[in-house]
Amino acid sequence: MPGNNNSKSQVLVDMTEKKARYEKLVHVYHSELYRFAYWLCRDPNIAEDLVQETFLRAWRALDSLLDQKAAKPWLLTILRRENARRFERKQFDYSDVENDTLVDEKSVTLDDEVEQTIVQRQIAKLPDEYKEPLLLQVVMGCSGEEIANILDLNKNTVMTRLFRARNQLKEALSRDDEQLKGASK
Amino acid sequence: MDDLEFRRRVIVQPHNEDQDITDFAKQDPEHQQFIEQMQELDDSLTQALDIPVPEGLADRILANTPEYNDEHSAPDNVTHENVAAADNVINAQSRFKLGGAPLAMAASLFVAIGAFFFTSNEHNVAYGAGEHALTHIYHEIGSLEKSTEISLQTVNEKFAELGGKLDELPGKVTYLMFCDFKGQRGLHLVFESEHGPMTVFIVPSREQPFGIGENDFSDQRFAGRIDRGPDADTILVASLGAPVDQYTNRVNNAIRWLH
Repeated sequence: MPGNNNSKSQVLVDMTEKKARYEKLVHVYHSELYRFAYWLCRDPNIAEDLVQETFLRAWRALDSLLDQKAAKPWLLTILRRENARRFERKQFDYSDVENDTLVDEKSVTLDDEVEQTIVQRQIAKLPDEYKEPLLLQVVMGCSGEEIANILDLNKNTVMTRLFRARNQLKEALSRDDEQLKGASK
Repeated sequence: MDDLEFRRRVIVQPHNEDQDITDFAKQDPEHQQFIEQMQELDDSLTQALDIPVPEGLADRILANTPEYNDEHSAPDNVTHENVAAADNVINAQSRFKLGGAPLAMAASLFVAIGAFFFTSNEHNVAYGAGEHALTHIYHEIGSLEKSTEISLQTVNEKFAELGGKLDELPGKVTYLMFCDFKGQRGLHLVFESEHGPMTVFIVPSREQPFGIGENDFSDQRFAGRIDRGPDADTILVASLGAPVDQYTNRVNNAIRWLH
């Protein structure tokens, strides 16, 4: 039947388009989502599972993503929901010290490595309500408005939390700096 | 603006380029120094959080998406179920088309409002693209003093978000940041060259051009060139006397757009 053939070829065209959209999403966002997930759970394996699960769900619901520009907050919302499910299933604290020294080995000197570890440690110490907006801003490049939408908060609250997060880090890191200088005397 | 508001806004967004912040900072060298300190802190946060991504992650994600692979490997086996599923897809797409009309109207209204302000505001007309690029560099002058190498892979991970890829760069990349260029998100990077550090801005131009004005610009310290492309405007700024043309061509030839 010609009608049947037409709908068959339409199916193939639609699937090819859907596949291309999906591939693009994966290529564009997997790195940033992985980093965001890693800093939420501080475990590389769990981070990879979270990103995988996020994209699986994204594939199944891809038709509901009408505006490609909304892809980032959409994926982040899925990932945060997945992360919350993980806590419903089992309550673990993954913020142990062993995961502390994860640095980019490609291009850092010893000094940079020490500095990165100190900064990472201080970020890990932030309360979750400050840490998450900061991660969305620094790792995902989200604006205050986008963060407010993703976290379902008003923008002023987000700005206050970003201020507190960065201010705490500023003070903690200058304290660390003084201690380091003191130790090397 | 008072001192408290200034500090608060700079802490929250150290790479904030708002005119009132820039003007306020100009009044006092201490303010300028505070901006530089906060930008340095921001850069160290970005670097500390920029952990390596496991190799081949994107391929694994695709390989582990079962439905994606079913269709990928056996496109000829279109079952009735698939057709039924595809009907849903078609419906969803036609909803998209319906939604397109108001969206297009909103978009054109946005362009019209933008055009109105752009043409009616003398300040904007006088504020050329070259001047904007130079102001941006002076605002983040610390970006020229970095030395830690950032790999091309890291550059491309960020660039992919704007839909582009760089095959190579003429020198070691030492600074990499997403920046706001009059509301348009673009890439700001610095690489080392025989002629000192060079700054490159890659700003998507599909929605709006980087700015008007001469393509070649300079001041007492820097010289630059704007290359206007269909996908993005590339702006290269180097020390006065450096062969800007030659480097602009090398950078432009290395850019690929993933459409």
